[in-house]
Amino acid sequence: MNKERIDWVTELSETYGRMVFSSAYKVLGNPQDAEDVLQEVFLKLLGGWGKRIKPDAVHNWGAYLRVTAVRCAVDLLRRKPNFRQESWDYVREIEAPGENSPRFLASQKQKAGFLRQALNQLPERDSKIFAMRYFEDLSYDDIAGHLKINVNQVGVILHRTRERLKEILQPIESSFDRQTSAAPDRSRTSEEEAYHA
Amino acid sequence: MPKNNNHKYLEEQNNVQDMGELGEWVEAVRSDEPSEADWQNARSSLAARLQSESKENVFMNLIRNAFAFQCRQWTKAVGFAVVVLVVMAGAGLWDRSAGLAFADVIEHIRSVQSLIFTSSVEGPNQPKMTFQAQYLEPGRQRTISPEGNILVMDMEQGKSMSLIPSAKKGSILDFSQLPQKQQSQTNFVDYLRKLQSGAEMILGHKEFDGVTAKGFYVEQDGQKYTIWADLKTGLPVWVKIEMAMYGDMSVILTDFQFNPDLDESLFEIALPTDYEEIKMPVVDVSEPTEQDLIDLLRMIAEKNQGEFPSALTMQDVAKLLGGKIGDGEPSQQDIQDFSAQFVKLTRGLLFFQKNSNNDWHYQTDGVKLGDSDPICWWKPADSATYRVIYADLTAADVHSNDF
Repeated sequence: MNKERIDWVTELSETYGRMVFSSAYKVLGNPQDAEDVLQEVFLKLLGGWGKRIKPDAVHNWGAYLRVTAVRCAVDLLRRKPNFRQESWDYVREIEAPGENSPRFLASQKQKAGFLRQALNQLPERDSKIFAMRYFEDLSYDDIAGHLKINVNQVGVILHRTRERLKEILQPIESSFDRQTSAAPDRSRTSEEEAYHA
Repeated sequence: MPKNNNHKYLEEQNNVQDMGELGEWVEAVRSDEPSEADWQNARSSLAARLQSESKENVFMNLIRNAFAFQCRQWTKAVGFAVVVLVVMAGAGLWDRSAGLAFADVIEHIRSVQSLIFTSSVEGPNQPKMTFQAQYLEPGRQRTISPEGNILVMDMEQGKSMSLIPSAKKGSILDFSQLPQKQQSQTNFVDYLRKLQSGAEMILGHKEFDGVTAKGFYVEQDGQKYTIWADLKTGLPVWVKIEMAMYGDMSVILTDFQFNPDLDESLFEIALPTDYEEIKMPVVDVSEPTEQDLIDLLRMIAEKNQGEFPSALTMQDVAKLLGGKIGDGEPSQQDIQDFSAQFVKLTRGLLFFQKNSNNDWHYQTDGVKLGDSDPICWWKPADSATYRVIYADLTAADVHSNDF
């Protein structure tokens, strides 16, 4: 392997590695999988088509790597047959109520998990575009450029995706509100049962 | 609003803040950040991986091509047997002192008398190959390749047997001339048994098919081991060995069955009576030398109108040798010739691998056998001069100022 190339990728990973790891983590929700994506993103630059990309061929490496991280993460999410289903029990086991309490933070984490699961039910491209826009704040132009689609298409897909996500999450939202404000209760609501089914 | 700025307008309307209830879900994801410790672990792994990328991927190609070098079964089986032996010798080149036990998990492995497991050999951009393996103390291993070919190795006897059930042919190799220490490092179980505790990193917990496992990462003798062991029993459930000497090749061991009843006869080094024996040449398992590289270059160039391979990988070498190995049912002589070629080829590549970190250069553009141009040069460790091999296959020591 060309040492110069490896040195360059190493330098790139020092600059953007944390960002790539964080982007992958947002989609996947666990550090082991995010680490797999981190390695995949940078090792891709050493092998296959990736080794033909020259350092000056990409205008904005930050955006490029961020997009690549999201793409790889969504792909990994879809390959995982046993992607962990969020359980209500986690929240219920934490007794302390109130804003910024452990319970609140846990519920936030759980909400994140539900959104990831919901994204996994959508078409692959729609999930990627949603994650790029709303998890990573990428512009329409960046998303369209990297996915080789029309800019207006990005807007249309995002609109459609939001509507679909609302449909998926609405029953959970209702149930979630009840569960997080009520006293701990170990029985599932009918909405939860429907979701888990 | 100009038509071509329509998306800008839409973009402004599509901010998280304007998403209503959905925005809260998105905010939950956006605020979900990995811990610093997780990042540092991931960062270390990536750095180690990038470092290991600096090695040429010779050995993954070598093992893969031992199977895929030619389509016919006999070639694959002979190639496999020879390459195992020669690579095994190569392992000794990087051999260092063996270590102590690796705490509880390693202690469990050490106490195993028999073992069944699956080993998957893989590398980036390489197809995965999966073997079924059986191990029986002392030091015997039986491996079944994806094609159904069988390799039995007996470290005590210093012998191996390769069988091709589909053709009812087989061969026996003697590697007893290898030093005892190298022989003992030729199977994965022995690799694990020689691990030391003390420098391992804890990887946390992970589920493997319903089993909660605790992970350990340890580097030893230039190899990296990731071991996930059953939290309850301490027995390994998933093991990854990244072999520095094999470039970016890694072996993953899974589906362990500990101490099953295995019949001794499975590990006998004796050809079944209805098998025809393929006579194997005596294999040179000494340390590869510069002469091996020169022999490799000469062999290929002479077979290809003076043309050298464009790179020193098994793929490039095989490309030039492809189709030179005859068709149809091979004679004993064909097999002997092929084996001899394969040994030379493997030894030459091993020499290259051994020096690949010594400012190695290989450049053959437009150069033909017999020309006076240099085709490869490297700076041996602790040497003030470069070693240069020219296209006429002579070699010389050259000071960097004169080069």
